[in-house]
Amino acid sequence: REDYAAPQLVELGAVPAVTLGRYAEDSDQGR
Amino acid sequence: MAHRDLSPSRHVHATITERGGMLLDVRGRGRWYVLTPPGARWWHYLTEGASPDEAADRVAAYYGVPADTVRDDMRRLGRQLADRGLLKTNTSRRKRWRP
Repeated sequence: REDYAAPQLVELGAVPAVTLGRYAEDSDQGR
Repeated sequence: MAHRDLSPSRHVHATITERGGMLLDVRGRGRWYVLTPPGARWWHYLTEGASPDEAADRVAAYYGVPADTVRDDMRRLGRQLADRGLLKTNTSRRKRWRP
């Protein structure tokens, strides 16, 4: 099994407005 | 911050896989975040209704590592997520009675 490592939260930055609207419509958490 | 009853904020959209998670905060212009696999798994268990420590224990069982280690790690992660508004603290599950 993959090794455990302390979890990391990485901020990628802002989202282009067009992508934002599209993604919000398409994204059932954890499907 | 109390580390109990944390849940994903309504303005966060998550895609969680075995390889990690992508979180999209749709407030303002929107911001992307990446969670590495252990954190993504913890997030997933939170969405199933587990408490933060219960979720950490399930992550520990999955990886076969001590629960105390994972609980400490996830408390740190929980603070980071809450500081950015990605997780919210549920102070009470009872609804206030109004006449």
